[in-house]
Amino acid sequence: MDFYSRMVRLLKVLLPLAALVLLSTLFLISRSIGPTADIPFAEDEIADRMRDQQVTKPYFSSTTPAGEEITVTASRARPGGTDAPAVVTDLNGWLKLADGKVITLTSDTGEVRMNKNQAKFLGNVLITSTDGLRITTDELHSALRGIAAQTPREVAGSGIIGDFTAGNMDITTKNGDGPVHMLFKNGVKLVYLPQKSER
Amino acid sequence: QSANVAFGAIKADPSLPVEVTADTLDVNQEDGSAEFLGNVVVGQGEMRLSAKRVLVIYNQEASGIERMEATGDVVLVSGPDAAQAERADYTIDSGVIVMTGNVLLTQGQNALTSNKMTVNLITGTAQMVGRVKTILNSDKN
Repeated sequence: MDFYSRMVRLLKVLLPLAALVLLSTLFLISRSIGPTADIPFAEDEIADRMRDQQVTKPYFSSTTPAGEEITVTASRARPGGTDAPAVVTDLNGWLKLADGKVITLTSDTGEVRMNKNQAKFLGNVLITSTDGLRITTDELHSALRGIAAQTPREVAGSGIIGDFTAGNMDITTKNGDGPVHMLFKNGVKLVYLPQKSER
Repeated sequence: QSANVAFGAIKADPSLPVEVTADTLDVNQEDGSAEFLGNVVVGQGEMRLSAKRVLVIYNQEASGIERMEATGDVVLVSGPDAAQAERADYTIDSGVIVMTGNVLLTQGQNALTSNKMTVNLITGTAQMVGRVKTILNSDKN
């Protein structure tokens, strides 16, 4: 038996064995995909969801005759009864004005009363407008089917014009469908730092 | 003709913060203009400018305020001197206030009236132009 045939006979045994070993590692040693992987909900969240109905990512939008668009979304909403409002968390509102400018309203929680056409933004409310005005307050009431919002208590704001505080603030269109105004009322105090604009 | 007078006790510094108090502030969302309404008082260092309405004009790059247009019985007070007019334009960076519309400047005893007055807060001078009339009352004692 020459060297070649002895080699072939040897390989005839070794190669299938190697194949067997390779095949087995594929199943034995590979990472086990746990069939019982944990589902992406926390325990209390499930109880929370079971307790009452709930809408995730509610979305509401309406357009006014003047072409302004009001959009209100939230991360979660618990629908209210006939008189109780819907309680929402992470409320966001966009008032898109006719000329493309947008006023954004955000707050931690809120109450939405569709029948009363009102959305209440509660909890560190932030109002920003495209010309760089940032206003913070703790509560804001906004209409849902028209551009009209007002804050019951004082607001603090900052922008190109400087930093200011005011008794309260209204977002209204002065005469029906005229331009939208942000009216700061009941005493306004403003500080403007000139060196900001030093070139 | 024109008359140059000193105005204001000290040389104002234009980079001092400008404080504005008013009853209401109206920001028009369409053209972004801002207007203070109702006994507006603009203060910077020694200078106090009060008026019924003050319109804020932003500069080109919209990075700051270029000037303020005060209208409606405007009164400018700086140190011992006071000036009244119908309208005043205050350019913040240059510290120049241009008052127009029967300007009345009172300095201690004497008073000057004219059509227009340009006050430079930095140099502390005021230049009155157009029908300047002075009323010098010589005190009797």
